[in-house]
Amino acid sequence: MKTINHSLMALLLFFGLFTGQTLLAAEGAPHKVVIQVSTDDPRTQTIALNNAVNLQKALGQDNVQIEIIAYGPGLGMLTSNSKEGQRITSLAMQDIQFSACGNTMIGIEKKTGKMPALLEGVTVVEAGVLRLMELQERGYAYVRP
Amino acid sequence: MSELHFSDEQLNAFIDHELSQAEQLEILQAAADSDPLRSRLVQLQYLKALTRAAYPLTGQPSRQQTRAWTGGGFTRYLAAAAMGALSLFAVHSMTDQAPSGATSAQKPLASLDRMQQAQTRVVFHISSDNRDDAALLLDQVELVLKEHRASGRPLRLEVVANNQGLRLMQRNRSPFPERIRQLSETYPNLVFAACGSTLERLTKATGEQIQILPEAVIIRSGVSYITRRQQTGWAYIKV
Repeated sequence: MKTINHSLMALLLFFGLFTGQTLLAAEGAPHKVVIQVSTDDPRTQTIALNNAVNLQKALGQDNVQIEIIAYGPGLGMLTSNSKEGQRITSLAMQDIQFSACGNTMIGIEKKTGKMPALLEGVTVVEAGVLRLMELQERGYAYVRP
Repeated sequence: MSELHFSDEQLNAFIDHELSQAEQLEILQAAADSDPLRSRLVQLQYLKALTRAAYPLTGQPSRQQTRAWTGGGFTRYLAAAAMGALSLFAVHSMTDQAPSGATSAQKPLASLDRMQQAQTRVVFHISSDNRDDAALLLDQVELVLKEHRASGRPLRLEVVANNQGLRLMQRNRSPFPERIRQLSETYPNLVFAACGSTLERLTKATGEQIQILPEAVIIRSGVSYITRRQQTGWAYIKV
């Protein structure tokens, strides 16, 4: 009975450590980068996506946490009108987080009467700038292509 | 001329020991050469002491009060340690010795940094004279200021303009002088800073004296200013 208890404990401990570590790895990747897209220039938008992909390639997908924030004239990149739509949806499935500025979306709705439709896999944040500040305070490196 | 480089915001930060080593030194050196700057510093410090005397830490439950006091004592101790190390560092760097003092100075300064993190600090940067960029910048600045005021979180926000971006703060050329005036009036925690090197370059190139909006302060160099801000933990957003 005692040995069963012991091995059970060892097993639990092992799994506990294992899951704990994988959780830590996801939460605290050694590198954290936030990329700002605030322009409707398609070249800049493509470069932003390339930057993200190249960072993942260079550092390894598990070693870098990447978030791309689009706001102002840059928001179009994350809507159904985006020329990079397919690419963004597939990148969103590969651990790159896309954040759309809720404030910009409300502005567009006021102007056009219609809330812009976001691509699959894109999350909405309250305000792009506030998110940018918050992430930098949490140690994210800032990239503005 | 040197006292023009520092806003009251910066001088208050200096008095509160919130600046980096480099900034502290810069202000100390400028104050050594400038009577007006020295008297302004003393004025601000006097005002601060008066305010503190007028609002003592009363009206709290006694248990919390004792806690607050010990906390204050500890904070004061930390600040004192940081200042001590800082002056050591200052002496070292002024006498051009090997930077052996730097490592010992970094420890208490790190705890000072942690104390500052309760306050959000962000510097916005504009370097283009595009009207839409300027409008987006002011919209964002206002959004952040509003949000922090509404939630009661302390914030310091600075806008630095250099190169073509200087236009935003130029008298008679800025596309939004009225908006800048209103924002400055509404939010005392907002600073507009114009790059002195750009100003000098423009003055030389055009041959005429370039006027800056009264709400803006002139800093020596926009780029080195932003670099120092980032080194001391400020968030940075380029428009």
